[in-house]
Amino acid sequence: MRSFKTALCKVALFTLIFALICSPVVCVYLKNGSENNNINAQLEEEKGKIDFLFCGASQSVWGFIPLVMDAELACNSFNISSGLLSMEGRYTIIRKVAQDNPVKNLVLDLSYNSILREDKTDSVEGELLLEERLHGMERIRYYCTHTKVDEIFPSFYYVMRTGMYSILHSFSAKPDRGMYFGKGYWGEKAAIDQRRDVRWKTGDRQSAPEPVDIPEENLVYLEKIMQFCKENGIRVYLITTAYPTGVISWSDRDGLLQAHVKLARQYGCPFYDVNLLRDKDKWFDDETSYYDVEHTSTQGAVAQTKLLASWIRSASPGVGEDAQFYDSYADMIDAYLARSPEKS
Amino acid sequence: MSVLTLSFICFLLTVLVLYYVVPKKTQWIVLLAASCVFYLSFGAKYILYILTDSLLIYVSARQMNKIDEKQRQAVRAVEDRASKKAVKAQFQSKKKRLLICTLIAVFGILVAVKYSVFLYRQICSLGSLLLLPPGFFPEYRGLVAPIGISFYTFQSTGYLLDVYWKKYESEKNYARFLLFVSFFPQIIQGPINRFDHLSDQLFAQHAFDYHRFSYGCQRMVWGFLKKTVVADRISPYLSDIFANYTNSSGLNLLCAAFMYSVQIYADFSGYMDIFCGFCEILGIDMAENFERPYFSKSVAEYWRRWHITLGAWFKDYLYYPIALSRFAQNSSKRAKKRFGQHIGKNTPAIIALVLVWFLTGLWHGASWAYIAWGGLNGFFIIFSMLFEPLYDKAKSALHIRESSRMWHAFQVLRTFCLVTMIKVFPEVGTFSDGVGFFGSMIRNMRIPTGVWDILPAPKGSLDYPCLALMVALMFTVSVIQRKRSVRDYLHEKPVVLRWGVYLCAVLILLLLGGSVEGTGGGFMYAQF
Repeated sequence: MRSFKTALCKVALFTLIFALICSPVVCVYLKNGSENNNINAQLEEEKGKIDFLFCGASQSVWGFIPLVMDAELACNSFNISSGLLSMEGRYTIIRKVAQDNPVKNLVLDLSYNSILREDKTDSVEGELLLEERLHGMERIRYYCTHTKVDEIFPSFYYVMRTGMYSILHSFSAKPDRGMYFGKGYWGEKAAIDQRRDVRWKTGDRQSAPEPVDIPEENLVYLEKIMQFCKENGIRVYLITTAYPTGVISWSDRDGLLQAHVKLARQYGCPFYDVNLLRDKDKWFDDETSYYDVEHTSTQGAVAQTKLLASWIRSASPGVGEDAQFYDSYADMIDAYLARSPEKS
Repeated sequence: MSVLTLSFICFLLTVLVLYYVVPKKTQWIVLLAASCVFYLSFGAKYILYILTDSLLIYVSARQMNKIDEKQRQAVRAVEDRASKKAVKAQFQSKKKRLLICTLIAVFGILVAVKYSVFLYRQICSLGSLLLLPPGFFPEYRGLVAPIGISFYTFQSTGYLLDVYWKKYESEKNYARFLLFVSFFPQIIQGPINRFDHLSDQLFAQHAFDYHRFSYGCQRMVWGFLKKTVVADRISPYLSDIFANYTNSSGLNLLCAAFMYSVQIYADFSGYMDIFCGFCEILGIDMAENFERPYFSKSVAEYWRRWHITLGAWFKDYLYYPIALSRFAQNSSKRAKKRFGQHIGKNTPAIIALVLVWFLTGLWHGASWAYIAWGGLNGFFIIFSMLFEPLYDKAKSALHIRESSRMWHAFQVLRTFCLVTMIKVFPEVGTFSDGVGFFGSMIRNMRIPTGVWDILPAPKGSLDYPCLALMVALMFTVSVIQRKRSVRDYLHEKPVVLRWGVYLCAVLILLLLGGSVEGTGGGFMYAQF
């Protein structure tokens, strides 16, 4: 028994020393967060003035430029998206920001897999990025209620890595990635991702769309977002962001599209899918509008934000109702192949 | 249950606390329950296989003991020697039949789940050679092999053969025998323990010992470091290169082969360290599977130091019975007359080695690539055995001293290169992929223009520094271990230094191990 007590004491002592060693890095992380996600100070500055929100996962982070939207619609917009943000995370951050601001419009990004993710996020990163935008007890509560046992090690790694990066970065004069445009938008330069044509060229299309199975939890939080917006008089626009045309032959696209259209009709809000735009080629170019297969470059984001502004201005009812959109991905792909037969 | 997760560590902690909290007489029941939970976490249906296997072996072993008992009584009942011999032969034959039937049933299950697809494909290939129309054979996807089936089948059949050879009495309690077969630290990838070594420890009463706890934790952390920082970090590099070997440079492929050697050692020995360390805390010493294998001076020695328990199983239950069989002994006599003393003397060993290495290859995987891998290992061992007199002559002609350090280093390096090249062969994919890999290595060999012509291009900035650090550490540990245990060495150091090392190890593990994504949890030898 004495031996057991010795072991317990030594393990406790070891854990304490280990915690003391790690604590400076953790403190730096808690203070600074991750560079690309650190918009809290600006959110504070704009408190009480924001009337237009963009919310979604990474497609939305790099997909919408608030400064462009402000110029187009004479509003005061802010991009509160963060990478791998779950539906629950969206509900949490929308509610938090909308409570402090007179928000009238919300653009909710439903890009491809964000509504289909089984887990809250693909990794712990999404949850941690969200937590960086919460404060004090709210943050602790969210961490304790949302972190699974097996996510503790990866989240520790993320915290240490980000904290170390922050410390090292404080000694260096210039940031090594991204360009911050303000109001939550980080720009990315155009790049050609080698993966972009792979799926298209396989021609792996299904003859009929298969219904997609949206996880119950995502639908519950979407419902909560919609309910919250309804109660607070916020107009919601659902959107799927632009992808390089070469990669969108993903087999369940039409199944997902049907689910999106159904949800939009259910909640009485417009749904825009940038990829179904008949004259998409006029706005987006595979060489310059994207920085990888799933995200737009700054040039693509400018076009996307302008397009969105034009739809909002003209009160476009969106996919299924507006002739400027194809009704399905199958139609869009057929038209694309007819234009560029060498791709098939 | 993935081994590299916090929930697995919580599981170990729960087992540990329960193990030392319950009355000492019931400690083995905690282990049995934990083993069942661990095995069930991979899928409830798989437990049926292990229950069937263990029940078959248990009943058969008990039956063998009963036959032995009846034999003793019957022998006592008769007077003359001839009758005694006849009675013995009668009972032995019954026992043998029972053994053969049980082995057929147990290995039948193994073949059905692990080799049926391979065998079916060979039949289909034969069918196409006989010009049978395509689609003649319906598609067959086989059964899903339960985790660890090769390991527990070998462990339990080893027990049965020992009982058959009367090395020890069979276990009377099925639950205890089930624990021996399903003991969770050994179930995924061994070691293949022996009943006489493990059972006494499993069922003994253990008191908590701080020294063992401390040593066990150290070994576990070392195992996790090897697995997460080295093996999992190398894994994505090799997946890319093996999938695209035709377009890689020869030096890249050569480097990948050596990286594979490091990866499989770090992966397999890392697993052993994690579980042997945990067993050490429980007061149980599992059989060791490694003895600094990359410091071996020949392929035969390497196989005595790599996956020791598998080698020992094949040696005891296959190699010796075959080498000592009447057929092998007769062949030896014939070979002596025809080819001389040296070859004749080695003939039984050669016959046994051919079969052992064919089966070792097959045990590792149901494919021609693994059979070829086994064949290559066997070939080098037999080759060195046959040409030993020639080597001795060459050594004396060249005035090479057996004890010289340079010669020792040369032998170690030569063996390491050889086993690396053999080892990588089945890992690339099919048999033709293995051949293609070496073909590309030779064809694409050119003078390097930069470091990335030799090493695969880095995927992360920390990858190569981490690997270099850990490989250097693994090498240092191996060198120290030649003379004494590293843990004993550390134990003698001042507490500040010792704790500094422990803290660094845990910090490296959490920081560098946590950065490897998408590969955690799986162990390479679990597929065998």
